[in-house]
Amino acid sequence: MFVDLTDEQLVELSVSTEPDAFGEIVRRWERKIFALCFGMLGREDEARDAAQEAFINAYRSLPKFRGDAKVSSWLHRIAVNQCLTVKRRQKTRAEEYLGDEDEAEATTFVAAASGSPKHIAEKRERLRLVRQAVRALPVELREVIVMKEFEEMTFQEIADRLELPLSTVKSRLYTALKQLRSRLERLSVEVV
Amino acid sequence: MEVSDMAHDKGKMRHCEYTDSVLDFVYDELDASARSEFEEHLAGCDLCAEDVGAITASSFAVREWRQEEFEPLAPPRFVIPVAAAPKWSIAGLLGLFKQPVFAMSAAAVLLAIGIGTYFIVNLSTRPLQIDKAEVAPPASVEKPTAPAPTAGPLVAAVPKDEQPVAEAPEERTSNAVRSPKPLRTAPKVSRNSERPQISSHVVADNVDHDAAVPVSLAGEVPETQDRSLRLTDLFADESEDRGD
Repeated sequence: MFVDLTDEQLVELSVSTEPDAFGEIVRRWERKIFALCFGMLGREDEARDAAQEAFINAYRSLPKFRGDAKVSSWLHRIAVNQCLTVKRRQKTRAEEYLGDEDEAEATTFVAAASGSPKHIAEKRERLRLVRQAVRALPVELREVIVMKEFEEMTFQEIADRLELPLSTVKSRLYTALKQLRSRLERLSVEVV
Repeated sequence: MEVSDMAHDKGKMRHCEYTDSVLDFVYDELDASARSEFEEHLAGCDLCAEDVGAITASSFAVREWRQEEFEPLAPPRFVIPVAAAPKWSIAGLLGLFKQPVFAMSAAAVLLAIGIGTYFIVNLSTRPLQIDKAEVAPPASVEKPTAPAPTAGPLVAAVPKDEQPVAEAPEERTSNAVRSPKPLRTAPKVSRNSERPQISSHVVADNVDHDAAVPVSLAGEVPETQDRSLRLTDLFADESEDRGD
């Protein structure tokens, strides 16, 4: 019913006469928004909750959407803000319960289906450190890494989504990957 | 970003014109001619070769994380409770009364309306009831001298139940209002009770209080009205028996 419409047309319909049109927007973007939230937060359960909250917030904010930005940029910004809210809550919780965050991280690891126990243990440790290093990056750098690696967007798509110049996007990603390399080396992780 | 990294990166960007192509090369976003050109440059540029190695390693690490922990996840299915804009409807209004506060308020309002209606209807249709046995005409009550021909709007200002005592029921309604003389009202008989009620609406200030007091309660009782048995009556009977 709404498949042929653009995102902007769907938003207009959702605001005016067809609230169900927002369901098509959710269907189109749920995978990418979920990937973004996963890359930003590093945990499946938190990523699902954050993505769900992001879509709910977007639906509530539909009347405020003026069409100045693309719907994808608007959704992306809402999702990133939701992830930052979750991170703030995590920080507060971690301050209240020291050590709780590391313990929770360990329980979310998906073990490899095959390989020796030593190999599995090394991979588990490596992935944990990568997750930790990515989460330690500043938000604007983490954002472009996740968009590139999890959403598999081109540089131009990232620039359009973030409404930034292409050169800025490349500069941020370059800096982000270099910082990540530096952090992983400091953590004595073999990533190659 | 760390200071040493920034200085190093800026230094390299200053000295190699192909640095901007490193990312495009790693992520395979160069066209064929640009790719072959960069590969030729890469063979002789240590700075770019180091950059490509570092960026590829970081990208590989993140990609491995995605493949190991994100790819196996079930695709999300988010359900947003899409509700229509609230509209006023009968069902919506009735839904309000599911809340105890609204239900109790509505019940209180309905109860107040019912009680008010009951009293209004009963007061306007209450028949005139006067217990004639209790309306003993005191001797001192004077009749009004100038009966008004019509009660007019003044009648409405005075309760119908309050009537002058000494008059016929037909005349009481209008004369009670117009009478300039002091009036004494008859005890009102309540509909629900036999207890007389004294109203102060039409009792003038210049009432003759002595006259208004019932005779039986006055200080001196006239001998003609005294029906009690006296000693002289007994002695009189004995003297009659003796032949006095």
